[in-house]
Amino acid sequence: MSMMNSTRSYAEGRARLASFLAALAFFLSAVEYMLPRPVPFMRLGLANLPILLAVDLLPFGSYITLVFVKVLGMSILSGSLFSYVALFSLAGSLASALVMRGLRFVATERRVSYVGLCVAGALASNLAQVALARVFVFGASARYMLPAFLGLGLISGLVLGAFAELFALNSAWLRQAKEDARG
Amino acid sequence: MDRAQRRERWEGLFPAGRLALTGALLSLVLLFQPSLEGRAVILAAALTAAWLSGRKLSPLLTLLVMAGIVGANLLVPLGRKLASWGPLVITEIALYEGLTKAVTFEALVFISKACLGPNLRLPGPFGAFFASALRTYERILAYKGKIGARSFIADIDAALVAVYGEKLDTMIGEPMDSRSAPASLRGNGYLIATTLLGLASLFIGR
Repeated sequence: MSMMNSTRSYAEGRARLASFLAALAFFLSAVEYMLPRPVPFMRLGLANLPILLAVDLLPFGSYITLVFVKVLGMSILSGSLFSYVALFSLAGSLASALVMRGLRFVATERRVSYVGLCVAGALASNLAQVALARVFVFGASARYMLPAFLGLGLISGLVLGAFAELFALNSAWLRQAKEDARG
Repeated sequence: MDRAQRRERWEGLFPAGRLALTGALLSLVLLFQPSLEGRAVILAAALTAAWLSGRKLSPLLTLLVMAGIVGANLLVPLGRKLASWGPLVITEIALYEGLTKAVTFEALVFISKACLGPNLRLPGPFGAFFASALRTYERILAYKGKIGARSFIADIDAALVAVYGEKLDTMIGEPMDSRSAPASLRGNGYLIATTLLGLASLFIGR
């Protein structure tokens, strides 16, 4: 009985952590909205930080649920759910999340840092979005955008990855969350 | 009437769930609309509705995005040559495709802006998870004023530690439905009429 209770409270803890990370993504998205952009349409992708941290915190099911809730929540809050913007966001987030998770599956924290995960995720996200842009918006001209998009993805991946490293080094909350995730 | 007042009136008139359902139906109507003219009419209606809903709109960004989509489609010439402008050749099919995609893109954005808001509640376990995330978001948001640029990481971390430590399963009640019965009836009537008009537009000009 106590084992069942402990399993349930462990699962509840994971669900609570996943919903907390989703809330953090909404919040960071709101923060990013207020920051000036160096280039129009270029976003740092601060809202992806919780997905990046979740690679080491959540089991696969909760991780993917987090991605869907992040996209859905941000689309509802920004009022873009029925537009191509939400579709692009879903494709980019899913591609990025799966690549980061796959990379972590084959390489431990010592071998690949948050910077490496983030750069791989950003490139996967931008590739997926350019592929969708080719189908829905730009047609064959999308190939001209690819180098610029990959370049921006590389820069934003490096910056966000470095920010994540710094955050992970200094965050008392993340230490607590990691302890909770280990059960 | 300013933007906040328009938003309050809009939210008072339409139930969030039915408004979202209408938005989903209108998006489908738009995507199945065969003519560019029909899509342009829906764009104009959606733009008006988004303005009435009190959402923040940026006409300059809208024009830039539409010009970008049309311009990108013109890069690959397709169809009869209409004109040329320096190295850019404007061709008939490429222009039509570009305009159709630009109008569709922006119309979907405005339909979403008009029909979606943070009051929307989703059903089922996924909806419960989503609602829990939104409640936590509101709690973190309360710390927004305490986050400074110079101590960004430390400030965010302090907010996260504080909210993570709270008992998160305390339910915040569902928002009260403040719409009066006549306003609710009127709102439902508008939504049904809009959906029927949208569906009827699919058969016009066939």
